[in-house]
Amino acid sequence: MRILSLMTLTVMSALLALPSVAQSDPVELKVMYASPSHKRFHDPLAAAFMKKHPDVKVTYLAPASTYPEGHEKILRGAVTGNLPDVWYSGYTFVPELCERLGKEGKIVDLTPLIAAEGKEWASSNYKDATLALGQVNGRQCAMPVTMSTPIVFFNKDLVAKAGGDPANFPRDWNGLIGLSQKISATGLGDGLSYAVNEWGDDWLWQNLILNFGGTIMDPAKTKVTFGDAAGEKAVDLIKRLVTEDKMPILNEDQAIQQFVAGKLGIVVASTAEIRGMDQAVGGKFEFGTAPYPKGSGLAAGGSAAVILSTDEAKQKLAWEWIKFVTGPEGQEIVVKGSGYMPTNKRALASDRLGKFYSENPDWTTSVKQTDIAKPWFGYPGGAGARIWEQQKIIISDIMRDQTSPKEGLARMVAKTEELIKR
Amino acid sequence: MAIASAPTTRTGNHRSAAIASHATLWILAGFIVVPYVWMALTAGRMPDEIFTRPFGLPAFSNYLANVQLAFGTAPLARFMFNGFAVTALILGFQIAIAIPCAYALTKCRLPFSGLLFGLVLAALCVPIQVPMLPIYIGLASIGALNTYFSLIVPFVASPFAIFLFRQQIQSYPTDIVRAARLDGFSEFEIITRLIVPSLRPSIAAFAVFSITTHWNDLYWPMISISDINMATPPLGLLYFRDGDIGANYGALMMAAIMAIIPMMLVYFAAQRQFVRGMAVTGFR
Amino acid sequence: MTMLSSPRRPRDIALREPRGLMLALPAVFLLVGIFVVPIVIVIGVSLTDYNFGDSGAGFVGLRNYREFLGDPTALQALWHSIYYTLIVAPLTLCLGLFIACLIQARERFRHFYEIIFFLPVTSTFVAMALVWQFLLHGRIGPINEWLVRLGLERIDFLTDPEYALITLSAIGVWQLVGQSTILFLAGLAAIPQDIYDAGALDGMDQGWDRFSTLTFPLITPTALFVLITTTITAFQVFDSVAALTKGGPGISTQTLLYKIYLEAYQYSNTSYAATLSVLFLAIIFTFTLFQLFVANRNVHY
Repeated sequence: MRILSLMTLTVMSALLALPSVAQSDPVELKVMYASPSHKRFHDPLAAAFMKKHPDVKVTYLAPASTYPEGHEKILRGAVTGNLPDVWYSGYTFVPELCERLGKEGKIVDLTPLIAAEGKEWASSNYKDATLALGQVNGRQCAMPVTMSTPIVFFNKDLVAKAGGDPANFPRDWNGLIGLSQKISATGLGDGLSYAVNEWGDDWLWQNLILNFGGTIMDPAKTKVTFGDAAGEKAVDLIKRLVTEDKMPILNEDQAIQQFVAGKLGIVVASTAEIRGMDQAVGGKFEFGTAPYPKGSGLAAGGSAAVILSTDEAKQKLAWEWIKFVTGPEGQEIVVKGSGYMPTNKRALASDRLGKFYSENPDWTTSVKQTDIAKPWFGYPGGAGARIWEQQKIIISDIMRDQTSPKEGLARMVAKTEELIKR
Repeated sequence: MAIASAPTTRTGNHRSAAIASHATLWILAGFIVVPYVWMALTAGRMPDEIFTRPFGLPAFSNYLANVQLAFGTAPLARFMFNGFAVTALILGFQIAIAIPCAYALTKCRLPFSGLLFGLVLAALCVPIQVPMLPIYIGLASIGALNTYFSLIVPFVASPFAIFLFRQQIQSYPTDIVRAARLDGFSEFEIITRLIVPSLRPSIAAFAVFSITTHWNDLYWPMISISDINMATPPLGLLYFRDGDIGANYGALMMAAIMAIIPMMLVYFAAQRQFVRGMAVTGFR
Repeated sequence: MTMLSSPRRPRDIALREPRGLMLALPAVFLLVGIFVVPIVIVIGVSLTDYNFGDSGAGFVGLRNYREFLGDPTALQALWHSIYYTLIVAPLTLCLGLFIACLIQARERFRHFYEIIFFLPVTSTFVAMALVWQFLLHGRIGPINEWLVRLGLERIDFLTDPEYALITLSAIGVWQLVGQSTILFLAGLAAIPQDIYDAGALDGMDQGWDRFSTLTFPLITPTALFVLITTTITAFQVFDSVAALTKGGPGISTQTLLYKIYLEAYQYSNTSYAATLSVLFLAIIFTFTLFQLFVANRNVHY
């Protein structure tokens, strides 16, 4: 029996020792991102970086499926000490993350690191407005890595068959809904998908509010303000999409699947999907992109890198990594692998993206609407991820006639305020 | 096993009854098999054919291409290795811990043996997801998540194994045990040389049950693993689906086939034990 | 199969005591460490306001339990689990019995049928989920294409809250029917042939008559066992929710276990998750005790 228990002990301790053995390799930098399909550009980024720094091994942790899920994972990891060295937080969660982890000293303030790079460095690489996306309470807490706005993807074949003109694509909701009805009337597929209720986060919802001229909360972040006329326009539109043309009620992935299968005429999605769609469509049909319907604002989507390592050497390395990823070379890889807009000015040089953009005008749709982009709002109170969980249920109810748009909007406001206060 | 049809003169009637029930069974079996057929067909499709020609027979070369993609794009081989390692380790511990305990319960004079057996029965009634909550917190606080250790630790003591083996050992003649002791056998020798061989069928039944349960388990890996390289096949498949290859259904289906084949082999190899294990546990 | 015969304490001098203790010790240690202590912790934590990461915790009595009673999402999750179980368990039982009776009467293809119907039980569910989500896609899934060809309306199987849980239940039946078939086959095989012979003399040689008067009463213990087993399995449904709907659309497919998963491991609401876990434990514990009792009393393979 003693042999057996000895064996048990040996095996157990060997198993425990496994992770520490793995860590004794060349310096390892653990990075985590959200949206697993973005592996498409994250992998080449790591490869390019490691080519320049052979002593470093960049490993990606299992990607979070959405920003909210990743955010919760990071908060949990902060407790267990099981954190990546670098995490790309969705903009909407950057304030909450920085405030919570900042208190415990578990997130690195990037302000001094930027200063150490010299006076000109920041201004020659980034626009002030871009850097501002990663600033919380006057400190640079995160470095913007990806930036996007929602754009309209359309299947040129279906649009043409429905009697629409792909070259003269509608620019407002009425036009879109009209075209969508025509497409479904052909019987070749569905018209339009705006999968706001089953999106991974509240980005498409916030875009509606901002686009109709509203705000999510007042500047002091004490009162929820989307219950106004802008909010009403948003919920009315959601209702119209379902009633006037039977919008397929799908989630983000399913809508994109249907689109690439050639069975959906129009889908509103992030500009970051261009590359993925291109590959998935694989030339079966031609698709084009058009700006989001005209309005007074858009929420800038995307993510910013934060450093969570507490080890000083790792922090330095992480900073090198972030500089690379947000640098001209890194951004070229990001943009070409997705459709995101570059966060680095120098990436727009003609030998990088300049020429590419002029040859691929569909990729510039998002860039052209950045002048109305606003920050993707982050709720105070640490319930950001849960708020969307509740809001989307009510949006679903509106779509399915379980509640009137007006009543639903009031419920959304009330629920949001309740969760903020909790 | 099958009961011969009762003697009767109405043979014609019987034949039509037989045809009717075979037909019904074939239809029902058809429903069961639909996803497998679809899986096998889709695993041979290139991305551009999936929606355009979903019904015809795929070309063989496509299968090879998708195998390559499945193994090349995601660490599928790594997932499978993890699956084998974890199921083997769990099974090893379960057996090594349960047999001595079951033996002690039946063939040794044990203080509080009633209490111990009560503990086993009580543990048998506990859904493992409940104790996982503190176990997770414990593992997190010692930094042991994302290891093989964390993957196996909630399962190393199987009350079901103890229960099953105890039942079997009970029917093992105590006289032989007594004689062995008088011959100077140590308890350890009795277990390894007498008890274990007599338990073979039960061990096989339990092994099949344990292997399939833990190969297929999603709940615990989803909680304890965040490093792709430590994922077991079910968790790995989820990453695989959401990742890069998600849009390529053909390669995805090929990966799915790879994940179910080992358990099919286990089932074919040990069908009898499988059924027996299930009859006792209800397979949960 | 007598499962529960109480442990006989052999009064045998040759049985050695201290060694026995050593042999049982690893198991005792682990059972206590893996089951007893964690469950005590779970119950304890459910009475506090502890959240994962807090350095301390305050005793709040039954507050979490009151919160549960006033939490519509948790009550719905409980209801979804019950609803799922109420569909899956009886359907699996009836279909399993039906299939087993058909197979039992046939000698040809018997083995083949057994294998086919049992396939879903052994198959890694996540792998099968990948197929199901494709087959059931609301717009481009082949099942919907067939429905349209038959002139029926399309159904958003997994994205319409009215259908999502029913769809998962149907998949649950697909998954479990083989298990109940096999159990029933074992039960049927145990019925002595003489009984049928005797029945045949009374004119009950086949069909419904024979089933209702002879087979069914004899198979009842097996049926009870199958019912409880399936109930326990169904009540713990997690994989299909996690792989196919993630509880959605909205929360229409959030089951109790999935809710526990979310609260405990996504939102780090540990004390509340512990409260829900206690409830979950109580339900499963009761059913399993009942299962052991039934197995002990009635089922003889």
